[in-house]
Amino acid sequence: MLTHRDLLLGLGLPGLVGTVMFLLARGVPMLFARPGRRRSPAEPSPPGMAARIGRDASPFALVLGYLTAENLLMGRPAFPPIEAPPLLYFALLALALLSAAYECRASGVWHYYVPISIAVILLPTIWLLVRPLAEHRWTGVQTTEWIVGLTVAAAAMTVALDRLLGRQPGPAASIGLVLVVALTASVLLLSGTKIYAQLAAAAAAALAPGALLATAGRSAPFSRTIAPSFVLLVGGLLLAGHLYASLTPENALLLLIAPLGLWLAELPAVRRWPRWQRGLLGLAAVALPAAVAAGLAARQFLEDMAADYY
Amino acid sequence: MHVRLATRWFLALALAAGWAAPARAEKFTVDPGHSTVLFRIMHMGVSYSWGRFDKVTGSVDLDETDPAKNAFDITIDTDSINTGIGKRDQHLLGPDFFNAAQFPKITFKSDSVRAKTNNTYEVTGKLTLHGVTRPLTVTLLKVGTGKGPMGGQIVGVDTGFPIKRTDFEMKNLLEGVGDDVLLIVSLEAGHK
Repeated sequence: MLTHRDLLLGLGLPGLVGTVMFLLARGVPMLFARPGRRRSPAEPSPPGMAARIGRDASPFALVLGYLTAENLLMGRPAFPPIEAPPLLYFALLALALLSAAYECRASGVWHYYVPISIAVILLPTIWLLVRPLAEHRWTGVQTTEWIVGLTVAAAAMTVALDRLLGRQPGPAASIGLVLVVALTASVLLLSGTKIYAQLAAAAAAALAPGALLATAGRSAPFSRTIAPSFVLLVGGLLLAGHLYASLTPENALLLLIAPLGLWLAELPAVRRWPRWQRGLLGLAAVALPAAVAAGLAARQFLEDMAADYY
Repeated sequence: MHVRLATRWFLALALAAGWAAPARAEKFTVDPGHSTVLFRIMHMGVSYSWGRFDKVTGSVDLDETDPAKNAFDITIDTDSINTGIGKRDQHLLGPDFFNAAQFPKITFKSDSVRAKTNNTYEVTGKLTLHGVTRPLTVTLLKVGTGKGPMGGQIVGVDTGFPIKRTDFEMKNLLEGVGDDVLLIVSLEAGHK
């Protein structure tokens, strides 16, 4: 059951937060580029930094959308977190700070932004997400298998997405990422958890204005800075949805790998195509596995509800 | 002769000592088949929905002479929830409510017991639900004691008390499912 409150706090306000973020980011380079403005010689070169901040609003919009929804829907999360949503809340917050430091990077250490994000935030978060089951349910071997598998999957996904976005695939990639987050929300809702679904929907609502602006040519598409935040949010919610709700492993995997469909548009044979055709191909390759997951979840949900309505 | 006299004296002393020693609390084990945990919660602000937990275990220490020695240690398996609709139970066990995969047990452990009348007690202890532990005081009625079907002594206790689920960080879907929960716990326990 979705109420007006859910729509306002879970979609409307995160969408507004995202819109403000993207518009502010778009405005920052303009502020720096104001004609006649006098700069001190000590000031860092504004066009480069401003352009980076303007280009890279997406990770902050995603994180702020999530934080807004969690605060409004579930209240201020307690620390230390005991469940997946507040755990992701603090992990995303830490990742946003790391992303901000990366945006203002001044030293070569930031070439290692992705490995640092994976090692310092993604992997500890994954381990904390699986810890309750490791304590209550799994054997030592099972725990090792899960941790190794998830570590490899998270690292591979983040690197693959980072490399992909580094090739500047255009606005289709931004739309594709928003689509995956939105369908993740739908599948989670159909898999027995409204709250995880609402948090994913809030992130999608916060990212959507950026994808729309990019499609309209009013801002740059999402950059590679979003890769760790995206994997943490989508991967974290899918993992929690599988471990703690009724999300099937098939649907979780289909949604997790869906963004990699964008690589299809980067194949050498396809790179010669017109940009819009490549974009459509990449988008279709993203949409297909995500839509299959949504279809499977919907079918299961309808079967369950027909048997056991409440 | 002296030996027999000494033995008599020893036996007499031992018996006297036995009578004079303070009575020890008897330990009973909860019988899941004759124990019930019911809950009642508001649905959509218009009606009450009822459910139960089917698996309750634990121990009851009862001392007829010194109620302060009574103790209760009760554990409920979260995934034994039963509202009569499997799909709803599945939702309740998920992260929107109990998150049973992460928090598989609900426990109550008493800290102190005080007699209010000859068959009611004020029991203070800690309730752990959804990974959150809060102090709780309930009034417990000792329904009765007697012989069980297998001949051993059995005892029955009963209580009902309200809690707020938000006190236990169960904050989701409050617009449809109320915050106030009435719990009714009825336990039968016997010697193992």
